[in-house]
Amino acid sequence: MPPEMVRWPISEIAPKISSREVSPVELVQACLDGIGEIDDQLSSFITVTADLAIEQAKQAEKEILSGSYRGALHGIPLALKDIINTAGVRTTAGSRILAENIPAKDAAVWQKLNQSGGVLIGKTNMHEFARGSSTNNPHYGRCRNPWDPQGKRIPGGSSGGSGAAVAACLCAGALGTDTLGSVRKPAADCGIVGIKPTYDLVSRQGVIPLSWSLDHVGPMARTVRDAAILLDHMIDADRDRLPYGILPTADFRPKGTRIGLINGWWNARCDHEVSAAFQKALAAFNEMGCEIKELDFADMERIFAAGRIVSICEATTYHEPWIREHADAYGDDVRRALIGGFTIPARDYIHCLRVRSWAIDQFKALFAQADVIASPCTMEPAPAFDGIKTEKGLDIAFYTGPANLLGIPALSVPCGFSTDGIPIGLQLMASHYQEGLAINLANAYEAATRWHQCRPPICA
Amino acid sequence: MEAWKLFKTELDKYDIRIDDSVVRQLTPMYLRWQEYIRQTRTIAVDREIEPFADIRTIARKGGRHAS
Repeated sequence: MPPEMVRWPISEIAPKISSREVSPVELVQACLDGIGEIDDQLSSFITVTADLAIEQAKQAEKEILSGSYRGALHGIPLALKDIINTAGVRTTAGSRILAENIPAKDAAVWQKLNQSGGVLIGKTNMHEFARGSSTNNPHYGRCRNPWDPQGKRIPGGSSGGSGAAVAACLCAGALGTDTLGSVRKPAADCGIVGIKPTYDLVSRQGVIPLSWSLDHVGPMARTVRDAAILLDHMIDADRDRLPYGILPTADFRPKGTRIGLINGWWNARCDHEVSAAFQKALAAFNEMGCEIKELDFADMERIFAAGRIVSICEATTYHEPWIREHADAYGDDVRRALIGGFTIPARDYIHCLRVRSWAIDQFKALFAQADVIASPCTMEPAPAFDGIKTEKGLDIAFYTGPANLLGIPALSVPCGFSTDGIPIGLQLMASHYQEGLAINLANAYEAATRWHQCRPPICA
Repeated sequence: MEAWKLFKTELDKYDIRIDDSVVRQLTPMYLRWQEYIRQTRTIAVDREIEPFADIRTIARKGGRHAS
């Protein structure tokens, strides 16, 4: 069994690496050992970059021993969703079409993390081309939820491999991409933290697109602080725009924070277990001195629908040449979903882009009444693979999709478990560039609860 | 016309040829998309609002004309 250090959060292991108490080489090797032991059950990785990871860890160790410590990510083993380009390491987007794709250049976001000393341990499994939420990948294997000993439940998606790998302590943190919730949903389903930042806060350059105007790159980690540390090293925008910064601050007090609850939306589609966990979380916020404010806004369903339309139109446009030339190379569900995009008229796509502008204005008014808006992250705890029907699958991003259309930051933090022991996530959304506020609030909630300390049985 | 035939007609416009049996299987998805379209068409958007592609601009200035 890998040593205890693989379970430690980045915030605790980084000082030990800095003080030379922990060797990055030993840490990376321990994660590789864990992958070797259990990933045949999870299929959370498409490519494990063992040799590269050891080489990078040795380099980190050498630098640290010579007094050149780069910061909190130096020598930390990280995984990337296999849609993020890595120079010399194949990047498949979970597809057969790109099975032999070896990029010449790193994606901008990985350049940043690598320059901060992050070690690439591997490329994670995902729903093909990020177009789906089960991570039931027909080409690289079905990624399983580490909380389900039977292996029958989805890890969420499309960044399901990143969610499963982080939850199972196979890496310290990972990146995913989020077009309608693909960072937050697997974070919720795997019992970890996922952040979708403000649109364009993190560069998408070198990330294979699904939907250009909805795609975001976001961090996934076992604690709020770790996810914030990752995001802090990923930012590609003027930090002056961030009134709360990114990292949780010691002086943040949740008392008086106004948490908005959109009437008729937060409980419109979630099952009783998700609803119960969410309401307990609200009670915890209440005890922390937050003010729960009910908000009247009747258009969330329609905003969600607009996001779906923008998403499928852009995805079908990107994929059209491949659909025409290599239709058989797609898995059935993705090919069929992309075909649906041909049936939507251009004027409806354009209308939905205008709806986005309208919706952003509506949300500015909502954020005048509340500092953050809370909701469940998913409609139900991670379902079984065979429990997702095509038409139901279209609505699976009901709670997460609106934040993508709006471009506002949103995160998922664990808030409980189902009676079957499957994690449940709470979503907090904030106004543009105010991810720091949601992060601080989530960090305070996490400190008041124990959910983040639970590890899946596969780690035992 | 039956829903699956409407769907097939749409696909034919774009020269997407798939078996009728598959078209029938996918018809619930097609109907869901039609429902999304119906829902979004009910949002009356002010004439001044542009279909900005750049959310960065929207985030800073709101959804109306930048000028």
